[in-house]
Amino acid sequence: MIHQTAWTERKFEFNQPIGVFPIIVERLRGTPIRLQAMLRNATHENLKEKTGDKWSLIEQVNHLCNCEEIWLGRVQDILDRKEIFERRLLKTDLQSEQLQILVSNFSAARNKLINLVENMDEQTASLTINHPRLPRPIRLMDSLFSTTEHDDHHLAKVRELVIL
Amino acid sequence: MIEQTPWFERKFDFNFPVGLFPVIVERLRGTAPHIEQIVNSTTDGQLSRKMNGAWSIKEQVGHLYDLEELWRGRIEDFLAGEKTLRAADLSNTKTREANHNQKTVRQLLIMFSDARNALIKKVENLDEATASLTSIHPRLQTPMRLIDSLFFVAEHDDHHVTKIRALLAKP
Repeated sequence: MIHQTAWTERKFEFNQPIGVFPIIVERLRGTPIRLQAMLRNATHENLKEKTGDKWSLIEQVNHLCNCEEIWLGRVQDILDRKEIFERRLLKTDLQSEQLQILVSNFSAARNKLINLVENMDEQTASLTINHPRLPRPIRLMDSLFSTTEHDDHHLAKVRELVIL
Repeated sequence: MIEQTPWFERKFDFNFPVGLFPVIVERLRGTAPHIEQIVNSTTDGQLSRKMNGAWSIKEQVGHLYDLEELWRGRIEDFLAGEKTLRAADLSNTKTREANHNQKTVRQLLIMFSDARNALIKKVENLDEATASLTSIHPRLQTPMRLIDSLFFVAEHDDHHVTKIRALLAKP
């Protein structure tokens, strides 16, 4: 079993051509679908099961939900031509202990993000902003790419817990 | 609307850590359910429609199935220590001659899903040393690790899933 790289250790080059934008948007659309498909095999027992201090399956899905407002806020920061991303704390408004409610909340929140970005033109997708932890500005498209990678990071974690 | 970069113009940096392996395998698992949801409740007419000679949605799905043999074969090449990976048929003869439009999308999805599961089974429990085995990619002419070849498949999947979405959106 190969140990998954921690999210905080991931590095991104953000050098993809703008023509990859439609693919990034499609990956964003795919996350709730893939999550739902994966959770068909989850049993009631493994929802809250924790190994050491690692998140349970329900905590992983709650985290995906909680992050949506951050991703949406970041796109808004770029559209508002802010110089740097606003500092945001994870919100827990969409949180639930009921998996089906949670997945449906995540799906609805993700649709908001998709609606905001899916018809963007090249110029808008190329708008840049400073990221507080990165040495150079990133494009709106790069911010969305980082969201897809964050999604996939947590989907891989969920899979590990579904298999348990 | 932003125009999607053609597949043969895509460039990849194969410099990510081997710790991305579980994430890449998860992407590969997600392709079939993702397509299934997109084509769900779509008429056969829409799925078979060809515009300006380009592939229909069913042909896009069929193409993904057609390539599974190559992806599995390349894993065999890595495991056998081949210097260069087997080449793809760049003219896509298999897809052009397969008459995928004569099949139902359900049949195509089952074919793809079964083939993809076979690929996943082959790779899901690999260790770091095996995932790092290296060979030359025949078209890109660059060294590629086994993990990179799977990343390449995940990117190829998403390229075509995006095409499927775009075809559905066309009036």
